[in-house]
Amino acid sequence: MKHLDELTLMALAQNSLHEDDANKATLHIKNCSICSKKLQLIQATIAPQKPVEPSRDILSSLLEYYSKTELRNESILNAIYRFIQAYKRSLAFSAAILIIGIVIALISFKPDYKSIPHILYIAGKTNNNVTTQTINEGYRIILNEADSAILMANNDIKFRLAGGVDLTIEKSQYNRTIEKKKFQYILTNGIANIKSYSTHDTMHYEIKTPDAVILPLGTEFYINVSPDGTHIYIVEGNVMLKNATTSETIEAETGKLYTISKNEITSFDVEKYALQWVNDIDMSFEHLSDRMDLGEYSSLNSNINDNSGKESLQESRIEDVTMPDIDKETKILKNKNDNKDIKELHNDMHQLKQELKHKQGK
Amino acid sequence: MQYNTIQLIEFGQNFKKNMISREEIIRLYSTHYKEIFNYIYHLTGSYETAEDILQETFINLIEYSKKTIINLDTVKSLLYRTAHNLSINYLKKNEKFDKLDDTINYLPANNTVDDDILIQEIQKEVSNALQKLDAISRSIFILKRDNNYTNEEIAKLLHISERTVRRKLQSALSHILSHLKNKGFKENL
Repeated sequence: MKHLDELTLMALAQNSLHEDDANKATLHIKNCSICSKKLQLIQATIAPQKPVEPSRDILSSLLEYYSKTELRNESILNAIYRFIQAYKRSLAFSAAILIIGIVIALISFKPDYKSIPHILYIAGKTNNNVTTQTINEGYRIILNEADSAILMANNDIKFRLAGGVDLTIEKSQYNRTIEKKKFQYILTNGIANIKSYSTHDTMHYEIKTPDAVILPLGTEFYINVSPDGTHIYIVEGNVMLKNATTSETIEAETGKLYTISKNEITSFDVEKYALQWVNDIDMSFEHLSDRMDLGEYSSLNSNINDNSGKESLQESRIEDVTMPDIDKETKILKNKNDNKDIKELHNDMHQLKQELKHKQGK
Repeated sequence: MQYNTIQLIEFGQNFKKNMISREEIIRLYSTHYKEIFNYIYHLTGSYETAEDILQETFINLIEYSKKTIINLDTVKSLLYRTAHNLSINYLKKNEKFDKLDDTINYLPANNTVDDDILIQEIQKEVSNALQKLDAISRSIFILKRDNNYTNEEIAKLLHISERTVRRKLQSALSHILSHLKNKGFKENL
């Protein structure tokens, strides 16, 4: 006869067996003294224990702990709110003073640079008037097809602008800290002759066109911006050319024509007089020379080597425009023997004299 | 992560909402303290330890209620599990203990459950036999004996499989019965 196992007997003792199993087990125990004795022993083993109770008042300790926790939460999380409530006015006052301080600091802050004005001479082809105006950075020059103009940037750069030019002065600043001038122009359209008189140590300037970024380093060059690209002819000095699309950069040489289009920079050797647009702009300025105020022009040139910045800024003002007095002009030029560009001006004078003689003869 | 003042206040309000109430603590303690205290007492074999662990169990409940919402339907199982883990930790720290014989003296004198001297003798021997078992087997036997939990309930409570519960219970029972036989109780019954 197979005896009941201990777990079954335990379940039977605890009345946790299924009814059928319980009946079978009870029947077996009636006929089996071993299992019967075992059941008795198990019953005694699992008999309810004497329940014990804690002697000290644990609940009171718990409630005390609970009160402390509650107080701690309240104090931590509402401390900031209570602080704000208590010192509302003081905090508002402090904040107001702080804001006023920041505003004063912002107002009293002066940038460390000064704007450099430009002088623009515009000459119409049809009438004899030459208008002069002082312009600042941000100014956009759009010339009529019939007009020509000379733009002087503080005796550092001279632009000869042919009709139809679209030029914007993006930046024209003198930095007091590093004592350096910075010019930035955007030439969107037209033909120009650009000559710079200052070295790269005292001046940095660049000309942006739709296709290129031009970084001249004390030089003279012709530039023609048209929808098919930017053409540059270098007469003298060095020019860094950068393709605005591909970022390709080259150092341009004199006596070459460079064409910068969207994808490439091309160059070929050419004589200056073989280029029609270069000749055109030179011609238009021969015509303009008749009417330009060369007295002022030369006085501007006399300041070319004066790179002291601020002082020369104030001097470059022109009130009236008069017809040139060539003898007086020649004297002034003779006195300027130290001028590097004296030969060039002599040539200009010579040309003008011949033209005047020719006119007088007529 | 930083909170602004309003968020902190809202958090504080929610925090207080979540936290178990004082009344709830009193109710839960009054309902469950006896069985949990007995469970810890039989498991650890030390009366004073049982008191400490009982208090720590309810403190854990208060702290836990700060972090999450307590489900009152399953709080009993949570209390048992906490008490069990704390007891096991205590037993691991104090591996040597056969204090039950001493702590028996702490039992209340006005006990009226069973005056049968033989049954008392058997239970004393059962307690001695229990102390020689591993903590899990002891825990299973106590839960089965005092609470009449099913194997499934014990398995859930102790995070073990039902098969393990059955196996451990079988071995615990065999161990106790053989201990009693050695003490000569078989013949006397």
